[in-house]
Amino acid sequence: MILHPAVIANIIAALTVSLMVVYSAYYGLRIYRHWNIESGSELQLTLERRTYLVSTLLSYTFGLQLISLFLYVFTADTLYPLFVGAMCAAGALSVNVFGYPTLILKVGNFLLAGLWLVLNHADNQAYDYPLIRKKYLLLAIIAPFIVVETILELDYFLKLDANVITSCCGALFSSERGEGLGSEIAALPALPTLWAFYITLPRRCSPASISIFGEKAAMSIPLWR
Amino acid sequence: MIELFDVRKVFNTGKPSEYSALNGISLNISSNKVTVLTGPSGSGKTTLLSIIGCMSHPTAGRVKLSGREITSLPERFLTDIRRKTFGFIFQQHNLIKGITALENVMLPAYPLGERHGLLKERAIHLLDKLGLSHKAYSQIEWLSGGEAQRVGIVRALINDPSVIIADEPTAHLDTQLSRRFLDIVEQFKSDGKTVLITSHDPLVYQAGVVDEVVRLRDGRLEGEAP
Repeated sequence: MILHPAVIANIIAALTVSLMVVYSAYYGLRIYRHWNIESGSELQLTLERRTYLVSTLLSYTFGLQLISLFLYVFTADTLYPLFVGAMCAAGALSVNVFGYPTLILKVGNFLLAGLWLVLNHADNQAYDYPLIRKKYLLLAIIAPFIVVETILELDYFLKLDANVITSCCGALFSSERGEGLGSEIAALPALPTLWAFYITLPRRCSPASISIFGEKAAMSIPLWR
Repeated sequence: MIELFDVRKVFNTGKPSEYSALNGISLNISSNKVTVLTGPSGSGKTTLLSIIGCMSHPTAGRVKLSGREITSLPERFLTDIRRKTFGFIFQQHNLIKGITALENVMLPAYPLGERHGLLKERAIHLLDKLGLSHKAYSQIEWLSGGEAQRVGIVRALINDPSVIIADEPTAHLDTQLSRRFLDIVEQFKSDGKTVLITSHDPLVYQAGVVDEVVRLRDGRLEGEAP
């Protein structure tokens, strides 16, 4: 594990969200199973008070879940200088096998948490809890995903190893992976390629070609930066 | 109309000090009438009043206000109901010391965002109705017991509630002031307000202005089997 403030913040956020969601899902299931607004029983009144607590708790928890997606990407983007070969978050996320699955789950959970917050807001506008069962059913569906995300995120951060040589995003997302002009040039034997380079050099540096070559080089600078 | 269905209230549930204050009260309280809840100390009068006034939740049972169920409502809705529907008159008056009678009266209306000038005009008019206009700018601690109670009554009226709730309003008043309070209650009744009073003072529950007396004992309506 790399002891970096952003990593610690991510881990704390993930554990907090998981803990709160599991706690809320437990009461959410009770509410889903026993809810009966027509009844004035002690259980129903307890559930009514409990839903107030749980929905308030979850509003903040899912707010944190939404922020945690950006925090995760920010952290990966902050950590990339620690890994050889990485030039941005894409490289940092491929340091181990848990980086990208966590990101995908985070994006999915971001959408689910957002949906839950919308449902909760709509439910809170009415006096008679019209969406309460749907809201807690959705929570029961979200909870396992949140827990899996936390496990993967912990795996990712705890197994970060600075000795790992990773890839830059150009290599990760290139359409020429495995075959194509770039990989064919890279696969050429070193010695003949060196010879070919030096033989062609005088021609490339002739007065006529210097200006063209110079312009191309100048044009290419922003691309490389 | 206020309807209560099998209302129960238990304090400290599951603890050795568990106490059941109300044991299944079902009751209808008519609109535009004066109802007195009476009974000995510990009979559950104040607990029942606080549940009807949305100041506490029952442990079980339902309360309907004008056909609308209010016990299941979260606090964000209850605040609005409390503010607009109920006016509270407390035994200890609960006036805020250090500010004037007028400011005390205006205080419950501040969250509604009404223009200050209009609000002040209404508050002075209400103080005048109860013969307190000359005390409007007096500090609360300078008022006598009767005056403080009337300021409390005016404060309960500032948001023009349809239900007035008074908890032991004559407990600290002499006979003359108690009779004066009952005259004010008569005025409320003629204005079409529902008045709900808890009292074990015979002067109150035997008064002519009272339409209905509900007797409580041990958290039950008197005469009901335990």
